[in-house]
Amino acid sequence: MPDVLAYWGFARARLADLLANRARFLAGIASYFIYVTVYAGIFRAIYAAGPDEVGGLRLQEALTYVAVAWVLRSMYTNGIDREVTQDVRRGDIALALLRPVDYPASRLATAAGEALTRALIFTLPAALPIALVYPVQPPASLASALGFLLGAVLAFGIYSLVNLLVGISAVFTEHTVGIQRAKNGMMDLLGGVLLPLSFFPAWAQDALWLLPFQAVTYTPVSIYLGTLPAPLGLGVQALWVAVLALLVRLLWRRAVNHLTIQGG
Amino acid sequence: MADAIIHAEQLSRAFRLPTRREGLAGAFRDLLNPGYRTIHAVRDVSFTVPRGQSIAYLGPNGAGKSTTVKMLAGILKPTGGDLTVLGYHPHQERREYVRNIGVVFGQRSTLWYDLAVIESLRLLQRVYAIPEITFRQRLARFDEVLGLGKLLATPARKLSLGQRVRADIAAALLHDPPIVFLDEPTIGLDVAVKARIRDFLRHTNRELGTTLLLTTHDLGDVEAIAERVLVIDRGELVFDGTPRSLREELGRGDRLTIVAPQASTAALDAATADLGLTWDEVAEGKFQTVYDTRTIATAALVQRTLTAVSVEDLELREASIEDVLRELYERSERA
Repeated sequence: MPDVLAYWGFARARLADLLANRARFLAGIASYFIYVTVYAGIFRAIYAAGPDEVGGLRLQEALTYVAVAWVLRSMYTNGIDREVTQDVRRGDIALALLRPVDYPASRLATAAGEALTRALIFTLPAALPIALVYPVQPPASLASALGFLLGAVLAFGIYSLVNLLVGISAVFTEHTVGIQRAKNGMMDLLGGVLLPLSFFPAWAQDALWLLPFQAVTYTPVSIYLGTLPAPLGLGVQALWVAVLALLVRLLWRRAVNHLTIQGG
Repeated sequence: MADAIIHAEQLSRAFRLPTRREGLAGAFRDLLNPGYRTIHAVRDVSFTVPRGQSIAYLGPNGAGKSTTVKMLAGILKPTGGDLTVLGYHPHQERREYVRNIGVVFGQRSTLWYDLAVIESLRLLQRVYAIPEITFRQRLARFDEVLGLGKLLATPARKLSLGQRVRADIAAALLHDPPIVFLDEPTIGLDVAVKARIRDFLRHTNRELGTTLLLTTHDLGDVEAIAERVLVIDRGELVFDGTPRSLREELGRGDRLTIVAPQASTAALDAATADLGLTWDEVAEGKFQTVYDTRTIATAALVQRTLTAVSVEDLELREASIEDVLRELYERSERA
């Protein structure tokens, strides 16, 4: 049991740190409102040009999609890919091996502390003005509401595990700025933050199911809208969590070998 | 040794490094046919350490000190020999092993960069499951000797070097490990902070019986803390003994300096010819000779000098560990 307490310690420490520096979220709250405004404007223009329905969504649903997607994004976002890379470049990663804690797990716990803080002091204040200004629909049903909440937790898991993979790869490559940028782009575009994936051509939609990104945003928001059954969406997300956790485990083992056997 | 807590038996660590050929053509050849050379950072080092000992691990830059500490700490796998610490094989059983040790790197920090020091310590309290009362007692002791006070509330990234090292030492000893490894803990610190850290380490070793092994270039650390000295050079152990025996073993280098305006090197050389000593005039009217206390009694030398020439002033200087080490390093340089 002390181990679980230890990892809660990582989450708590990040929580305390972010609460102490909460001012930095103020600008974020404003910019998320602007993002939603921009995409809502684009969607209104598309629908004004004619179609009643694009990719299975009516205007009202598309606006709800974009609002919920951005609000969700405000919660799960973290920089552990950058933080792990820093640890590697500063040489602190070897020191992490001196503590009787599992490094990837401690990073995930830290990220969880960040997500919790964000949910409270960033996501909620950001959601409020968006919900007041835009015609955001409530979840399609009680099942989709609960499914969305659980899906948000899994979205955080998938997002953070992908970040860990990027960060740990720094042990082998030293630089991950390029990979970070590519990952961030794919997270927003292929994950469905910028556009619902149902707006994409059919072949692209099929291909994107083979990547984890759609499970971060598109899947939970579709559960919210009721366009994807909650059990199916959550099942897909859980599968990605399992696959990515396994990949992190394997990559971390190789990284530890690289550090201790080859000597960095 | 029944209660030895470190057993190193022919401990070795080699690194395979790619060789780089020169120029563009060389770069292409490296790409197609990479060459490697092997560096023996640590070679066949054997020693045992009884519980409670304080050891200084000395050697010139690049001698293999840090490599040894990393192996002892379990974060580097030996390429040869056998190593057990507290009954563990540090590398194979790292996760369990590191619960029982403390490690300080003078040039690195194990504190969480963005957290206030007290938050890092609280985190470690959870990691090592330290009861609240014990945590407070230890913190009070650290505060008393290391003077943590105000820096507890400061994020690690804002600490000065001296503050950071003090906080790092507190973090490494918070779980009261039976053995602590310190890699250059006093590097770059001012005299006052060094003195504090030495006091603290000596106290920890003498009162709590914590086994210490520290690498350093600062012989003040050795004099203040160490009962035993290991000297490594080019990966090999070249000395193992007490600081005193290190001085005696290489007893050469004691100096006698006299101020004698009327004397000459010729007269002095003649007076001590049968001892096989020669003199240098190091300044106007100031002469110096270097002798080996194992073969020449200081009293006899002084007496002979005083009878031979008229001396205004006389100074005797015992070889410092620094001199001894310099000689040791130079000797292996020549070998």
